[in-house]
Amino acid sequence: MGMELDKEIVDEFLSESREHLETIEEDFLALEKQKEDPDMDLVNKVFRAIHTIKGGAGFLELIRIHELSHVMETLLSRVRDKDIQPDSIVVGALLEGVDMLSSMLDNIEDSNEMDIADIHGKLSDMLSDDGKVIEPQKEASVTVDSESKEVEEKKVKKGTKGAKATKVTKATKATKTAKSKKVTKATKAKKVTKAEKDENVTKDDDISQTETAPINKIEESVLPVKQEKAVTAKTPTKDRSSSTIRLSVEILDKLMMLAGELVLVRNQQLIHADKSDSSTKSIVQRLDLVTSDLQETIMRTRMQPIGNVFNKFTRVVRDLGNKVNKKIEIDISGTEVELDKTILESLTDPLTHLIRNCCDHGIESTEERISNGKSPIGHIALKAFHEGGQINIEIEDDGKGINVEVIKKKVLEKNLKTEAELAQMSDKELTTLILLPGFSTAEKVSDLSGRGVGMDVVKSNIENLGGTVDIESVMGKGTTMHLRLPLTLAIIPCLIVSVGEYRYAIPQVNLVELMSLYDDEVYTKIESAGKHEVFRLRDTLLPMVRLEELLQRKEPFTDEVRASITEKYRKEQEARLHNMNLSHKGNEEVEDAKEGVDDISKGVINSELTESVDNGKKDQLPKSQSLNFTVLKVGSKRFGLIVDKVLGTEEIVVKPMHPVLKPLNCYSGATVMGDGKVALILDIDGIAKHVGVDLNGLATDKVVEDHTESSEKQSVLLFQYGEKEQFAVSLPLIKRIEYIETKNIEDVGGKGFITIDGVSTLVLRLEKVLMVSPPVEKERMYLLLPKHIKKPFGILISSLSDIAETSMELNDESYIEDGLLGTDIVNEHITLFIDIYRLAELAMPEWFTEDKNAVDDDKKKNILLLEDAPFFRQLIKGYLTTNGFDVMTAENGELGLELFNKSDFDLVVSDIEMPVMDGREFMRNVRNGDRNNQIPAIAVTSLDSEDDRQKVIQSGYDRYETKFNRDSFMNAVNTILGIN
Amino acid sequence: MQAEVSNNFEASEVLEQRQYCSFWLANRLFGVDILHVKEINRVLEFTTIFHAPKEVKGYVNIRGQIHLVLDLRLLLGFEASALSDQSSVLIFKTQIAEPFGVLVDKIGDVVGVSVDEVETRSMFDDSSLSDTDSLSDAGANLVEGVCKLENDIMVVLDAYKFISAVKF
Repeated sequence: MGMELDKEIVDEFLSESREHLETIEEDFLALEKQKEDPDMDLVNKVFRAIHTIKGGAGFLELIRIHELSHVMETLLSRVRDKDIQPDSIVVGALLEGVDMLSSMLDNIEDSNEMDIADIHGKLSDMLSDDGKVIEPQKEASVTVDSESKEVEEKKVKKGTKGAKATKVTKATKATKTAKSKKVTKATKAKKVTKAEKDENVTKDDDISQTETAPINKIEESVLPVKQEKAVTAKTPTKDRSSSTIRLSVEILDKLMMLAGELVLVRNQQLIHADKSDSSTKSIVQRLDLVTSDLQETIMRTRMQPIGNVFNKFTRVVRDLGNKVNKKIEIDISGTEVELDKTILESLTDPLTHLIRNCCDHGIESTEERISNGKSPIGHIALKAFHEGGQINIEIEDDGKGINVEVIKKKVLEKNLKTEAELAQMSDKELTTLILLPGFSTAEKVSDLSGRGVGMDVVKSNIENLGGTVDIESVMGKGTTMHLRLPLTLAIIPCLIVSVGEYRYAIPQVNLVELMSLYDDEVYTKIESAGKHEVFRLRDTLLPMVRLEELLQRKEPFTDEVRASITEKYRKEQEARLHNMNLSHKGNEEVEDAKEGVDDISKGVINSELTESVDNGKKDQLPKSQSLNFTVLKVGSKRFGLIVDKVLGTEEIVVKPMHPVLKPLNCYSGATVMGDGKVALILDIDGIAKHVGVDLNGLATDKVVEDHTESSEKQSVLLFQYGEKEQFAVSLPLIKRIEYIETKNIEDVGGKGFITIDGVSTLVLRLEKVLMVSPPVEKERMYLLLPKHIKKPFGILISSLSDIAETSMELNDESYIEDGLLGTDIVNEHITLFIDIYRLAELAMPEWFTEDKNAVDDDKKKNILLLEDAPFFRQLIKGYLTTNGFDVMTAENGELGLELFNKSDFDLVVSDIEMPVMDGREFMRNVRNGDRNNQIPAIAVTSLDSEDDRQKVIQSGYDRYETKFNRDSFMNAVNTILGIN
Repeated sequence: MQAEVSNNFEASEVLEQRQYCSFWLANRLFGVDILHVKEINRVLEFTTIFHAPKEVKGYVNIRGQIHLVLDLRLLLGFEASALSDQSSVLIFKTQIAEPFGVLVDKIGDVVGVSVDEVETRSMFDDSSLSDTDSLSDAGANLVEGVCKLENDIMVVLDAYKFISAVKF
């Protein structure tokens, strides 16, 4: 493996370097013309090209190439600093250098033995200050210079031995001693692999299809084939041209397009072919097959797993680690993510730079790590994944992070930004300054990095691909570089669905499962909960989105829209059920039904009609129907998307949306389907935002809706634990319910733990914290996982009873125990409403001691709580009292104002929607009054739109919190009161 | 300076004749510079892009390339109309914008006109706007000039402005 890698890296280096040199000639010539006023972008470009070659050569111990490129680079840096003009002499020498580099690259194995003294001397001369004076008297200078040439040469040679250590790295020294041994090894490796090349070809999956083609000499299929123009070997010593083939992207593009057209022709032919003639049929079938294969193969030529680039970093990191004397390990994941070749190749340079940066600047020396209490071995995590319709690459190190102060200093030193500009920047913005050209944080310029070209190369390369670079860094903890690349040309697996006449692609990454409802299930299983349609998927309520309705509505959904959709389908359901119950006779009724509900969605009819063709024969019902939906996830959110038909999965080539359509957030791109029509790719995240899917919203919306009524309702989950009691938990507080096997619960120090989602979760048994009957032990039980918790715990449940709407008026006098919010009669049973958070505190006091002490140490703070709903009043009061605050409550603004004017408070917490006087009015009174009018105030409410927030803040509140988020709420309270 | 002037003079003599690809929309004749047009296509299977502005007719696949098609009728402020067998899509060169085209009612001839026959927008006063006054304001902005032909008046449109005329 090691040997293979050697060769792979060398080959990569060669093809990269050649690519750089290919364009450099032109650039030099252009610079020569510009003379006094060289185009700095161009100078930077050639400088980076040479820098890259130098870096690679240094790493591969190609000392001559390294020496030569180093002196060229130095010369170019003087040009960049405008010390030297790129006149014909300078450019001439540089071009000679380029020629020399090319010929060394062509004879890479002998390059270390090649004589570069002549050209090296010439270039070094340029560096001497009188370089420009030489110009007019060229003849003389040659003779005069022969001396200085030698001097320079010596200097440089000495340099490589370490005397000029600032410019030439120590590493090169180490290189020298190891050189002979390693180079021969590499050479050998090369020969061996060459001998095995045919075998390699057959082994390789990607290329095996071309086995029969005359060009099956495509060796090195492992390394990405460059698509730029074929490089003609400058010296004919090696017949490289026969071993690799380089194609222009244009040809591939054209091939792909032609294949696409062929598919269309094939499809037309399929339709027109006379299927009864068996010989025609078999020809058509073969054409069909071959065409599909052809198209697929051509697509594949462009796609390569990112592992091709990633995998070499294992070696790179090891070697670099050795060089800089650090122990570094790299974890690579996501190697299977496929990327278009163009993107993949352009990634090599920037990734190498980033990885080098991690090794060189990021990871501290072993001693430093130990003294900072870190593991002596530095870690770099390199991963690729699809997310949000983009390919994401993360390079994360656990090194020292980026020191913002150092950046500021450097930036000022180099005059890249003024002090005033810096003062305006956030730490994050400051961090991104390392992406500026000419910036380098390394104290010493080394082989690996440090000439300030690295990061700006990375940035420009990624941006050229239409991507972005993001840096996150925590001092002392490490740095994460986040590259986001567009999917352009990337192939992603998608589920193809249809609505009406159009097809849509749903990226597989967002897909959880598919569901189909049949017959009357279609009308009974989708329920309306408040303004949402929901489906009970196992133990969770899944909000449902109808793609067809979504597509008709361009504006983000409002409550009214949600309500109207829900209402529309609810009516339809009623009508359908009614009709179904009435008749089992024939199609006329269904026609009636259709007329009866005239705003029935076209989609449902469509799907019903098509389905009925398939199923119509076998059942007694007038028509059988089905309703399909996909369960989708975005982050932790899940929702169901109702579509007309599910057509199957397909790997599609993603094309970006037309720039003018960028404001549309429900699509992430488009693709051409097999039949030549265009299908849009859905952006699931965008859709979730558009419709405002939020399970939290299900219940909170209800609260808002019912506000005018005196008795508020809440949705609760009813469950059983012991045989006797019925318990209730407010639905919005539940994250989800897990079905567990009790044998998996492990006992740790008298407490039960179970692993859920890879996290060890405390199993809270109610009888341990409340005076309730012991559970009905079963093999499988439920675990209720609450939301908004810091430490993972779940409440053990023996059986789920129901979901019910209950009053918010709880009885908190007759039977109130610590850990309960109160009791109520639900479904004719006394039901205990548990306070999940209090129970957790009772079960695991050690989890919460910290918070409490903080409050205890302070003198007790008085808080005024305004909340009309008793349930919330208790809930929030509970949050506050358990954290050691004194709380006084009022049911509306008027009563609150009375209390406020009587006693002294440290904080006001108030609901917004209240009878008599609402929270806004109340706050305006407080702020305009003359008593304690600067008191901090937090609004707690279930209103959650940006607009609402604005209004609330305008009326004088300092913060805005939602009722159900206990942690966030308590944090706000603590922050505002200055308690840690 | 001198050289420049004479160059211009020469150029204007050579470039006297400009060719326009003419087409019909709501029974009026329009034209765009033929050098901006890549091709004329009869592929009319649009994929509707819901949520897009109404001027966006949809996506269409032309030889593997996805093109955005704008409904030029709507862009100019006319009523939309159903597709007919004469409906065509004018595809513009990519130098103008990312691949796109416009839907027109019917393709006309290629019209050669000498440059001075085209009254540019700045040249015609409000009264001569009568030919373009049925256009919406947004539509009027797309007009480069007006040109009298033997039997018709051709409104010359600037293809460069089409994409930016799509408003959300």
